[in-house]
Parts: sequence; structure tokens; C-alpha cells
Amino acid sequence: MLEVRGLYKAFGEVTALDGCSLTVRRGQMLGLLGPNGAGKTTTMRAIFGLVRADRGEVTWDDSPIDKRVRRGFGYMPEERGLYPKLEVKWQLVYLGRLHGMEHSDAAAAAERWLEEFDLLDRADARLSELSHGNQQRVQLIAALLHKPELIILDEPFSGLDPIASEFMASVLARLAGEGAGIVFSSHQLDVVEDLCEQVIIMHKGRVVIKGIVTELRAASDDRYVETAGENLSWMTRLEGSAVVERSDGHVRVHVPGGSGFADIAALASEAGVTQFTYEPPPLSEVFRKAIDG
Amino acid sequence: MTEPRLVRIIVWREIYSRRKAFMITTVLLLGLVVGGLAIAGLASSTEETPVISVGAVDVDTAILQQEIMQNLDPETVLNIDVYEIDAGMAALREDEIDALVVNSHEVVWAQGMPHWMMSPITTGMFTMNLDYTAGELGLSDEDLTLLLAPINGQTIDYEEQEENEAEAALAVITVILMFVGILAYGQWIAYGVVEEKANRVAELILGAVTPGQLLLSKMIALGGLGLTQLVLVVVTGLVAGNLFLEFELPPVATTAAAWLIFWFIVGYVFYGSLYAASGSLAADSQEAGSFIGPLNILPGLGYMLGVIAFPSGSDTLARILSLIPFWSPLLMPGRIMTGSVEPWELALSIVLTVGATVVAVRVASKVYLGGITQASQRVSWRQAFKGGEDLTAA
Repeated sequence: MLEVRGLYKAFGEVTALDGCSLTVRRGQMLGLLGPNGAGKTTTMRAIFGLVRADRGEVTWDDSPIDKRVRRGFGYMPEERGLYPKLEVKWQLVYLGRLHGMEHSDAAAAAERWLEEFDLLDRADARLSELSHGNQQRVQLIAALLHKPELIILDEPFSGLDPIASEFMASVLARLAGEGAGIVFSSHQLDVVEDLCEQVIIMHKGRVVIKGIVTELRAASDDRYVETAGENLSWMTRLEGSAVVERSDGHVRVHVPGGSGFADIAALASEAGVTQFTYEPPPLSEVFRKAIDG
Repeated sequence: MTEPRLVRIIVWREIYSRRKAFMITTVLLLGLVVGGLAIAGLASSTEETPVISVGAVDVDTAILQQEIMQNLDPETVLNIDVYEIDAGMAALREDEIDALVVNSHEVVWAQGMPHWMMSPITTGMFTMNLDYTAGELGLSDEDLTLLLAPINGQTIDYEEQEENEAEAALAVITVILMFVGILAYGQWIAYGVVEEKANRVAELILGAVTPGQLLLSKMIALGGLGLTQLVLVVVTGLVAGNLFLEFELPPVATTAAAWLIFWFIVGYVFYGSLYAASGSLAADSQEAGSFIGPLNILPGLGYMLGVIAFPSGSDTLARILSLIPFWSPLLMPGRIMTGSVEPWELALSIVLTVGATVVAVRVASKVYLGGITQASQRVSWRQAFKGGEDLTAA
């Protein structure tokens, strides 16, 4: 289990981390959210030993992380990092060997992953000859090749098309299912919401919200009611309600937390409405509120 | 996983990624060495044999020929023809002869007669007259020796002079080799570091190895390539020189070659660590020159001073500078080649340079670590050193 406790880091006058703490168990996927400069990358770099925190500690299975332990981690930096002029498979094998794999094992694993990512026919091509999306796939393979126990990915979905994003998400979900702990940052909240059981929202170096996605959403006072049909006037009778979206017989209304499901259901029943949705705010709204304070 | 295995893996990547550049530069260098020596050999083989034409009036030409030839290079052709005085003067004016010897006491030179031709002729005439007069006076060889005893003549040792010139030339060549080797491979290190920092590969690798291992591996790989190239150039140069110019190596050359390798290794480690550190300060390869360029001044200065000092025989300048660690690796091999190094000087320069190298490697390792982990950022030496110290302590 990865434990980050009370990390504090300042770069000159700028406080990058201000008491950041988080926990990731094996098999768990943790999404790190936050605006630019929130401290997500610094946190991940501190876990990987690329930044030394001024205070606080990072442990793996209750022990400090040394070089031997770190070799069992996989890391994908925000700005991608591989050799542009070296052949794809060659450098994957190279990185695998640095993480302790035998040459034959690393070569076999590289071929297996390249095949899975539909890149086997580009194994001998130079990295720079691949498209941006394919380079990103190779970058992900480099982080996964040695079957790491902990995978740290900084913005793994940025620049990917929806199909590639979906594919990468499925790979990460599978790896978490196989027991790897995964920490990743992203600005794509829908992806995080779909993929992660647990999220952390950071702002100005601090963890402002953390928890299970469904619980975070449910903890909000706000609710949204959405329905379709000709009879929509009943929704305006909800106290404090405000229409947030209306189009062609479809309306979405924001209702304050005071209006419970039972009240709304009663009003709907009176109006003869049999179908409507009642849901907490999406993660993006939770995120926005957390950042706005 | 054992640490030497990690170093071997990185060393192999460094060599693999530079194999083409290494092969191309090696072939070019060897081509230049062989081609240059072949052209020099061709030029020397087509030099004309010097010929001196002398006219003789009332002189025993056989004795004159014998006496003059004793003072000339054996390859020089000496033609002596008998003339009447008027015909001889006419031949001089017509440039048919270089000198006209009259009655073995007088000589008339052609206009523009080079000094190297005059001296053997006058010396030959003098000894011829001396022998003749001694015979007339009935002086024995002992008498003659006594008469000549006060004159302590000395002949220039051409062989020694040529040997000194050859040693000076080899000294300059060692300075050039050291300079090119240190500069070229130092810059390979620097730009390799910049590349790994700019494309963030260093961050991935540092998850598996220590910065010291990464730096050491890089230096072993590129140093190995540099040493291989140096040995190839030296050996090829010796073989080609022997083939085309038929030169003989100065006796000190073998020892000096061993010292050359020693100083290359020391100089390479000293400068290579500084090049690695300076490369780690740049954000990308575009601005790398502003960090690496100033460092080039140090070996550049040693190169210029060496090239000036050795041919001019300015031993004092080379002597002082070769004791300073920045320039010992560049100048000391040349001084060893000229045989002008006292044992204490060699010992002192080794102690100072090795000591300075240890300090340079320690400082550079921290700067390298602090610099290479500041991805996409330009950092100062001070910031990088502090960052490196923090991470080392972590």
C-alpha cells in the first residue's frame, strides 16, 4: 500500500505542496484532480523520488521507498519521455531490463504489449516516426512492461482521441483488477468519474476533497431533476428550483438539498409524471465547488 | 539485480545509439590521418636532390672534391669542372656554376648563393690548404694537432636536432589529439544529458538507477568510444607514417603513448563530468550551447598554449601550465613526449589533477542530479547543486 503523509514542498516563495496526504491500496485506482499548479505533478514526482519533500513521508507497505522498491513502480511523466531516434521495441526492452527483467522476458513482454496496442508492425520503427497517439501508447507500455505493483501516470489521457482514451482506460482497469495500485492525474473529469472508485481534488498544494466518487457526489447538498414530456410545469413548483437546461420537451432543474426525493416524487405523481431522474451533481460540479471554496 | 549489470545495460544503450556517428567519425579521422601522411610522403619523395656546381682554376679537383664532400650531406651532388679564369668568370655570370675556386685561396660566389652551400666549400678549401701547408713544412699529424688544439670546434648534431623537432611535432600532435578527444566526447556527454533531460527519459531511468550510475555509465560508454578512437588514430598514424614517410619514433614515444592513454582517461573524466553537469543545466538542446560553450574555453586555452609552446621550445610556459589540473591532461603528454618532465613534476601534476578530478566528479554529480530532474527548466549551477544535495540526502 502506498501512503503519502503530510507532504510539504516549497520552490522558493511558491508552496507546491501544503500537507498533502493520500493512500492507494493494491488493486485501487486513484484519480488526482485539480487545476494547473494544484500540486498533482509534484505529488507524483515526490512518490517517484524526483522531488524531495521538505516535510512529510512517502511509504510503500509501511517502509520508506528506496531504489529497489522504486524499480517495481511504473511511471509515465506528463511530457512524454522516450528516445525519439531509437527503435520502439529496442527501447522498451532497454527500460524493461533496467527494471530488472531478463532480456528475453523483456522482449517477450514488449511484443505482447505492442500486439495488444496494435503496434507490433511498428516495433522496429523509430519512435519519432509514430503518430502522437501511438507514441503515447508506447509510453504507457514503457510504464507497464515490467508488471509494476504501483503505476503513476501523469495526464495519461491528454491528447488521445476518444477511442484511444477508452482503450487506455480499459487497460488500466484491467491492471487494477490484476492487483496493481494506480495513481493518475487528469483534467478529463468524465474519464476519472467512469474509471476511479476514489478521487482526490487538490488545490494550491492541499487536498481539498478526497473520497469515493459516488460518496463525494452524494455528499453535496445539490440535486438535479431531469425529465421529458409535455407536462413540465410541475417542476417549477419545487421550492428554490432553477431551470438549468431546457430543450424540445426536455428540462433539467437544479433543486436545493432541502427538497428530498419523496417531496419530488409526490409532486411528479400529482402531475401524472411516471418517469424522471433525480441525481446528485456530477463530479465536475463537485470539483468546481471545491476549487471555488 | 546487481549494480554492474545496470551499468552494462546503460553503457550498451549509449554505444548502440551512437554507433553510426562513431563509425563515420572514426572512418573520417583515419582517412584524414592516412591521406595526410600519404600526401606528405608523396611530396617528400618528389623533392629534388640538391646539386652544387663549382668551377676550379689551378686547383687539384680530386682533393677539393674530397674535402668539400666531407662537409656536405651525402645525398648532395657536387660537380667540379676545371676552367680558365676568364671562362670561369663567364660561367659564373651565366649561372652555369655556383662558385669559382681560384688557386685554393680565393672563391667567387654566384649572386644569391645560399649560405648552406658556401660554408662546406670554404671549409673544404681551408682543410685542403691546411693539409698542403703542413706537408710542405714537414709537420707531422701530432704537430698539426698541437697547432689546432686551442680551437675547440664543435659540429652541430643534426641527428639530435632532428630528433628534437620530431619530438616537438609529436608533442603538438598529442595536444591536438587530447583536445579533439576531450572536446568531442565531452560534448557528446553534454548533449546526451540535455537530450535525456529535455525528453524526460532521465526521469524514467532514475526510477531504476541512481544518478551516479547513470552518469558513470554514460561516461564509461563515451570514454570507451573515445579511447578506442584515440588508439586507432595513433596506431594508424604510426603505421601510415612508417609506410609513407619512413620516420623513426623517438625513443621516448612508447612510454609517452602509455602516458597519453593515462592522461586521456584522467582528462576525460575531469572534463566529462563538467560537461555532463553543464548539459544538465539547459532546458533543451537549443539553449545547451550557452552552457556548454563557456566550458570549451578551458581545453581550448590548453590547446592553443600547447600548440604555441612545444614548437617554439618555450619550456617554461608549458612547464607551468602543465602543473595546473585544467591543462595537465592536455600538456603533460606532450611534455613527456619531449622528455622534459622531471619525475617530481609528473608526480605533482598527477596528484593535483586526480585530486581535482575527484572534486569535479563529486560536484558535477550533484549538479547533474539537481539539473536533470528539473525537467524543461533552465537552472543555474548553484540551484542545480542545491537540488542535487537535497535529492542525495532524500
